[in-house]
Amino acid sequence: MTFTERTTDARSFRHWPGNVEADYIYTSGIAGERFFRELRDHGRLMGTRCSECGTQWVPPKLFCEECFKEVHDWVELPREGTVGAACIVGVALDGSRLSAPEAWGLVRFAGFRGGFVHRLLVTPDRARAGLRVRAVLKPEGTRTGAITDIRGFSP
Amino acid sequence: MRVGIVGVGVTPFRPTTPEFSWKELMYDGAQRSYADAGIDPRSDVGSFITCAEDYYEGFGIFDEFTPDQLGAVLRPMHTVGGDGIQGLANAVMQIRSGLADVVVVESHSKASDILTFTGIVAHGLDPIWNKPLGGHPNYVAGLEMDAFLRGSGNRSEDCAAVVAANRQTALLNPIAAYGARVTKEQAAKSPALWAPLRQLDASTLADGCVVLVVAGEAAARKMRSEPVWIEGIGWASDSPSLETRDWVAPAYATLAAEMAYRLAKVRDPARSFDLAEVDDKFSYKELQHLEALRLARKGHAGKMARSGDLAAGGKLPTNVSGGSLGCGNVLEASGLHRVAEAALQLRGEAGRLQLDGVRRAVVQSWRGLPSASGGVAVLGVGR
Repeated sequence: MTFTERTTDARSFRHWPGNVEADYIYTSGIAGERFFRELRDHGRLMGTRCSECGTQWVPPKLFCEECFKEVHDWVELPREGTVGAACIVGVALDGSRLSAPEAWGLVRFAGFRGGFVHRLLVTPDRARAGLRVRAVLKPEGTRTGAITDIRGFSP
Repeated sequence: MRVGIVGVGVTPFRPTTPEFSWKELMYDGAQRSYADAGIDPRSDVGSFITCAEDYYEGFGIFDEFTPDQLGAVLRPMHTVGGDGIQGLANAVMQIRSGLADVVVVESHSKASDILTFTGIVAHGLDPIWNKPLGGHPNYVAGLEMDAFLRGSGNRSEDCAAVVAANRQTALLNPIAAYGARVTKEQAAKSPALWAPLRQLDASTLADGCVVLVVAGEAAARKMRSEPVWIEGIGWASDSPSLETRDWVAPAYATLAAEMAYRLAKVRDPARSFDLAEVDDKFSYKELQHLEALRLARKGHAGKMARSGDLAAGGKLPTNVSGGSLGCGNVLEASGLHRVAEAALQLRGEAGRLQLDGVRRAVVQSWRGLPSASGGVAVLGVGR
C-alpha cells in the first residue's frame, strides 16, 4: 500500500488501542498547605497580601503576579463573596446528560484579586451574576484539606 | 528584512481519518506545501518547526517523532508547545536573525485518535484548585461567555448569528468538515449544555494538517512572484489561573495584537484590513476577539455580526473561510489554518470564497480551552 494506491475498503483499517499511564501527586506548596490547613482546621478562607503593591490574592500566592516580590502576609477573606459569572452545566465529563443540571460560578471577594471557580448550591434559575454567596463547608472533622472541603457557594 | 509565505499546504479537514496515521497526515500536508513552493525539503530548507501538545498527540516528547515525515531528518528542527502562529513567529525570528533563509512550519490535528478529549481538557485545569471539583470543563467557556456578554453588552443572539454565518460559508470551502445550512434560530435553540453556551456555539474537532513554507525576502522573491508578507506578528498569555485572568476582555489577544500592529505599523486596526480571520472555537470568542483586536468597538462586535458587516462584501469580512465552527477545530493547527486561508485570499486563490481586492489581512489564534494564550499575524501583499 502506498500513497498512490490507497485503501478504499474501510474494513481493512486497523488501529491499536492505547492509554497513557500517568499518575501524579500534586504538591500543594507552602501557600496551598497553609490555605488548606486553615480551611480544614478552622473553616477559614485565607488569602495573601503583597507588602510591595498591596494586591491581595486568592487563591493565595507566595509571589506577586504584579510585582514579582515574595509575599508573606496572610489575610482572611470576607464572609460573603459575589458571583461574577455563572454557567449551568447539563452534561457530565463523559458527555452523558445530567438528570439535574448543576450551577457553576466565578466567586469574587471585595478587595481580592482572584476568587474561586466552584459549584453554586442553588437552583439554575437563581444562579446569576450579582448573587451574594458564602462558602458551604463540609462539617468539621470530615474535612481533609482540599478544595473539595468547600461543597460550594450558596446565598 | 521582510519575511514571506511562499508555500501553503492544507489537507482537507475531516471528522475522522481512518486510512492515515498521524505521520502520513503530516506527510500529505508537507507534500502539498512543498509542491506549492516548488522546493525540495532535503536541500532547500534551513529549519523545521512543528507546533504540538503531547497530550493531543497521545505520546510524550513529540519532537522526537517528527523529522522523517517532513523531510527533516538530520536537519535543525524543534517543536513549539503552542499554537501554529507561535511557531510562525519562531520562523520569522530565525529568518530575520540570519539563522535560516527558508523555514517550514507545521501543525496538525489527529483529534479522531483521541478517545477522551474532554478528559484532556480537564487535565489542563489546575490540579489543586480546579480539577478536583470534576464537572465537564466547558463550564469554563460557559462562565466566560456569561462574563463577556454582560460585560460587553453583546447578546446571545449575536453568537447565534456567528454560528449560522460560519457554518454556512463553510459550505463554499472545499476543505471544511462542518459546512451546513445552520440558521440563527437553530443555533439559538440548540441544547444549552453549558448555559449560556449552547451545543452549536462550540466547534467540533476535526483532523487536518497545515504546512507553510516561509522565506526571507531574497529567497522568497526567487520562489514566487508575489509572496504573502508577514508584516507583523505577536503572541501573549493572560494570567494563567482561571481565578485571576480577565473574563470579559481577552488580554492575550489584545497584547498579541499590540505586538503585531507595532511591527506592521497598524495604527487604526478597524480601517486597516480587508479580511480578518479570528479564533471562533466558541461563537462568543469571535466577537470577543474582534473587540480585543480593536476591529470592533467595545460592545459592537455582535451588531456587526447581526448586520452582515462580517460577511463577504461587508465592512470587515471575518472568518469567511468558515473558521473553526465551519471547518472544524484542528487544535494547535487552528492558527496556521487561518494564516493559510488568509494567504490564499491575498494570493487571489481562495476559489469560491475569493473576495475582491484583499491586500492586507489580520489573523488571530487562541490555544483553546482552558488556555488564555494566542497569537496575531498581519499579512499583506505588494509594496
